[in-house]
Amino acid sequence: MAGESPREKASGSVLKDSAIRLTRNENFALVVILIVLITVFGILTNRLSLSRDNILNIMLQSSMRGVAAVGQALVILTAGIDVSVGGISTLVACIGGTLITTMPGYLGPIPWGTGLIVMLLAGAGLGAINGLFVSRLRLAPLIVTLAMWQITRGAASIVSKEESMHLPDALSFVAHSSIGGVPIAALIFVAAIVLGYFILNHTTFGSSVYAVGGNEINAWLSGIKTRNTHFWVYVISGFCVAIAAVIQISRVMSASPVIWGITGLELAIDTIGAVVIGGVSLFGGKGSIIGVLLGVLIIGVLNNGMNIAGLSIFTQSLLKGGVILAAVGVDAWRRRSL
Amino acid sequence: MPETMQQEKSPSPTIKERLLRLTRNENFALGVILAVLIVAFGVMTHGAFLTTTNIRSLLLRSSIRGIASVGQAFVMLSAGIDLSVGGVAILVSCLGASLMSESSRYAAHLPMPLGVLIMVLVGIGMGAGNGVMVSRFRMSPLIVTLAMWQITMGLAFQATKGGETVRYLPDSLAFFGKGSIGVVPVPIIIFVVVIVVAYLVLHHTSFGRFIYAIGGSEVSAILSGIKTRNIRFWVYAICGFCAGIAGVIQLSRIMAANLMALYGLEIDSIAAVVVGGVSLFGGRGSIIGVLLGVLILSVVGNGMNILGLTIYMQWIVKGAIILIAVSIDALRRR
Repeated sequence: MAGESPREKASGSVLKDSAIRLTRNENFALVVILIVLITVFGILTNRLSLSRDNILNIMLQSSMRGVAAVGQALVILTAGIDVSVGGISTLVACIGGTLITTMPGYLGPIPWGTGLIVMLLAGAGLGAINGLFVSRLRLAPLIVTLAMWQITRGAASIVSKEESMHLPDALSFVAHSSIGGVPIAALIFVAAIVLGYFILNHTTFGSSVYAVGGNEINAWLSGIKTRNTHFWVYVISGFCVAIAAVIQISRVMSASPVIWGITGLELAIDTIGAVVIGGVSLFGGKGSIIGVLLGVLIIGVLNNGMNIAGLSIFTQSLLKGGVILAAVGVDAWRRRSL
Repeated sequence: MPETMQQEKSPSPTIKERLLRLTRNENFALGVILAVLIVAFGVMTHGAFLTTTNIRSLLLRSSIRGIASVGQAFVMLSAGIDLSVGGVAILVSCLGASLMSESSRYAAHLPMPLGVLIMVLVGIGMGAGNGVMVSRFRMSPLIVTLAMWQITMGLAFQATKGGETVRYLPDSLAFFGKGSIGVVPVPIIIFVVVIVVAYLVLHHTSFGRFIYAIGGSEVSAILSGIKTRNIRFWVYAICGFCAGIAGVIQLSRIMAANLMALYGLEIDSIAAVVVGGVSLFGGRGSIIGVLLGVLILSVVGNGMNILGLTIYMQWIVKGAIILIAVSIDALRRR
């Protein structure tokens, strides 16, 4: 290691050094962007978008997206990707719907508690299929999850017979109730973030995720069971989007194949976008959960702001695409010395 | 150096050996699958599948998809991917329609040749945009083309003034999609030309050889002195060009432009390329395989339509086909 870093500034102030280091921190930049976005949209729409309904809406959407983004972050950290999230979530919702409601031709209505558990297991199971193809057959994650998206989205329509199933009132608590003033959905989101942080930073599994993403060969040579790592991140992703599905169907009190939009690709774009904006590199191995949290919030504010501003869906796509490109560009520029 | 590498003078391969080697050829297997599918659908649809009208419409639809798939093949052979193909084609057709439309809602009223030229140039331009971001800024092709897809859809929306269907196009435009030269419809001719040119470029030029090299191992390619950055750029430009042509033909066939017309073209093209034996990791595959992949998927799609399967059922089948195709490819490569 060479001698002292030539960047040793002669500033005698510890505060100044901390301030400089803070501005270079990636997450700080994200916070700044978030604040800027909120003010910009506030000005553009002639009111600070902080009305109660608005905040509730942002919070709900962000909670769902956030939970899904945690799973997506884990996958992308291993240099993989999961485009099937929308499809898996929709299929899980439809499976739950058909089991919980009185759809003719299916098993009679089962208690919603069991239904929820089945949904979570289904999500994990579908994620496991992704994981099997990627880890055992070593197929490209993009192709596998793309094909799975098609399959699950198609299956969702078939399973639900294209109908919108109205859910029993008991289920409204997930999205609409609070515990001690905090909405349950937000609690779920926070729990997911905390769990994600804990797993990534304080377990061997988390280390293996970073290792596999950073340099898979080295990780394998170090004795890490890379195949298992690859498998489990997809299972976790499937499980996470199943949770997101639960929140979503509770929010609209119905289960149908279009709960995530007609195609279901929006969820994939939003989660990948949130993760990438949050500083996770698509090539794997770099990124943090805090960044993902900020990325989710940024996308949430962006979506909400664009909706209020009355922009058409396609103009929103345009802007979102631009933002994601900018984020990736910044990431690539930062890595340019590599 | 092995000294005893005696080149034994083996007798020229017998017919049996030739046949055996043929059966191991990937493209032969694809051809067999295609034949089996045609027969199966012919039987299942009681012959409805095999009428001339149907075959003709099948080939026409294959042409558009096939041209886009050729472009996609170029990109995937270099270990990239282009998710914006559908978006570019849609943008091209919407933009071209709004420029050439003779209705009073659109002001441009450009003559057909100019309109078509602009359409193709826009296609190349979009592809070049992808290419620059992937090659110069070294951004991930996945995100770049995904974002580009979003952007092109947004622009197409603007061009059609909010998503309406653009009509009243000059009659001369119909040549590309509905005209024929002799008995052969123009789209099929264009498709064949594209396939032939692509085959020549990929297998008989150094440019093509470099594409395979980059896909196989980028590091080795760089060390061999190949200008990987330029080639990376050009394959995306080529893909954009192909998407542009697909957009022109599509617009010409329907004589109206709408945002939903070519939806899903990227997935179809990726599927065709992957079924045709091109590995996502690049470096392996041939144009013949891509052609067979396009035909197989068209046959399956067309057959399922005739059989009355819902689009969602078709999605499941198509997704399953993709998974099976890549799995087989992976297992064979073990």
